[in-house]
Amino acid sequence: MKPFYHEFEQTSDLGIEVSGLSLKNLFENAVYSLFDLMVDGKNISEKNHRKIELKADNRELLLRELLSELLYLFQTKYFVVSRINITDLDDKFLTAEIYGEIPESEKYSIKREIKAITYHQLNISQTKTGYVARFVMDI
Amino acid sequence: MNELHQINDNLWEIPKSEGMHVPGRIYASKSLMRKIHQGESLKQVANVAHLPGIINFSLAMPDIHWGYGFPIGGVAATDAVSGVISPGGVGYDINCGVRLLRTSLSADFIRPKIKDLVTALFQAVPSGVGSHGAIRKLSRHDVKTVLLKGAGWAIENGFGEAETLDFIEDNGCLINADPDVISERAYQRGMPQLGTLGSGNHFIEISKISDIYDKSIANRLGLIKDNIVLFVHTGSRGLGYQVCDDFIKVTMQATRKYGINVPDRQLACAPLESREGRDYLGAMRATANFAFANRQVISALVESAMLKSLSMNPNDLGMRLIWDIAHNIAKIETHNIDGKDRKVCVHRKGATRAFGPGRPELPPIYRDIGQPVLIPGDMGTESYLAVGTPKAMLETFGSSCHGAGRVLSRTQAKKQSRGRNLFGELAKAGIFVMAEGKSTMAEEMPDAYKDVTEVVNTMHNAGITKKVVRFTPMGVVKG
Repeated sequence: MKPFYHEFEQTSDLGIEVSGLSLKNLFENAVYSLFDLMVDGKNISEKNHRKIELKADNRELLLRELLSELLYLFQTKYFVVSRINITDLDDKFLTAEIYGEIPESEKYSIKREIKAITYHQLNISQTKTGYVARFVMDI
Repeated sequence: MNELHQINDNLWEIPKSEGMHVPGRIYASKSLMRKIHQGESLKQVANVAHLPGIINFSLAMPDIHWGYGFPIGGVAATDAVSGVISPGGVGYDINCGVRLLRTSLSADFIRPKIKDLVTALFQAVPSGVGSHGAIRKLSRHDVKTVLLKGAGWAIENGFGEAETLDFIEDNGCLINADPDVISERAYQRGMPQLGTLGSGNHFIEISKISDIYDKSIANRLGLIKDNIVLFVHTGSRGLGYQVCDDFIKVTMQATRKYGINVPDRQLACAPLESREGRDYLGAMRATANFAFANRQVISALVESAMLKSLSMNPNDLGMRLIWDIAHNIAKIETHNIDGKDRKVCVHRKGATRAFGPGRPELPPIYRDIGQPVLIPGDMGTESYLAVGTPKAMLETFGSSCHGAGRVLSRTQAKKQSRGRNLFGELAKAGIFVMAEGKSTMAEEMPDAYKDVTEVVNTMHNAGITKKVVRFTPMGVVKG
């Protein structure tokens, strides 16, 4: 799946703008863009499944929590997300089902290490066609 | 922000304006300032001046560029009792730093073997990104011990000799570290990563000693022209990034709780006397200790790989640590301010300690020459060793620059590198590079950085640090 994102100018780190037709779609695309930036993977299966629940003070911070959570799972468990389905989402709370695997090393290579999802320029806004989010990652 | 004015050839000032407690001061040549002026980093220097308890100036070194809250290349000292501490003044990679290892080998001897040697180092020291480390995965208990003992843990576990500790800032261990305020997530990220390099601008570099500017100090350090040295640049890995992330949340709440007004939420901070401030200081010290241990372990892996690759014994290799320096850290230090000794919290983010001669913190063997200051250039360009001076103690809380500083964003760098064979260009210049991360080469290309020579010369001409040696790269391992 081609994530709907592009990089924007940021001197020291990585700025990403991602779009989605709905908020749910936006959050899911943000996750796909994160993994597309980190990993070059072929045929990552959906054999492992996890459910996550997250909360935050507003939707931007909730997006940051989601990306940080999956970054943590990748960094500690080497879990690569193949598909995410957000089952419940409001401004302060989300639940999601994530599908992926801990792949054998032949199935993927690392494009770059991401240290953290920062608060810089963290923003979600509505557009004519849906939503767009901006976030910056420290690399 | 008020108009910038030039104090002398190497120093500029942002006068105090509303909200700033002190002026801003930036060390830069005229041509470096032209580049600095094009970005947002000067505004950040002015913003840092809003921090409660800040003393004298919000400082910036000539390698300044935009960062989170604090600019990279920023230095700010706050009163240790009435002032604040800010995770943004340290950075995500707590105690990212550099060490310099000398050897007895000549560049002529190494040149024909450089590809094999770089390959051996690339294999011996994993990036740790999506892979396991070269040493066993630590238990949670092990990590806690590392957080308390720093480089000392590495020595106790067979990674190097005890005398090395004298040549690490703070002997490789900050006291009053508090592993108990570090989150479980940070422990989980740290457990597999000790002895890994990381990626981005982290590297191991084999360099030749090309120019000696101060023969007497170079001799004292055992640095001989045309011999080779190694640089290791890395930090606290995932453990550090997680600790910073955790405490940005804590200090954002603390900023609101204590009614602190800052112009940028990324200058989130807490009073040093508050529980949040004490917790961050304790966590940061513990994390810094992890980074000291990491560089010590990696040095041992490097030495072992070199001995094997060159079929040599340790005496012939003659590897010895010259200095290990932190460039993302906050320290409680005593400085003479307006004629009185005062305890301050010095934040150095993308800046290094550069203590002058006579400081008790320096090992006896360096006390009369001043602290070595390591300034690596980016991949493929020269690096420098300098020493701290009495003027640094007077003007910058004994601080100096840390490297070259970026001028191009990563997207700009990738655009400019399109169609270019960067590996080939560097090979033509006699530099053999191995990089693990696919995006790394383009993003880290030399054109993306300022001219490190100009940065170093600015600090030399300003009298803050004194140039001693220039190194040119021969081989680079990047994560």
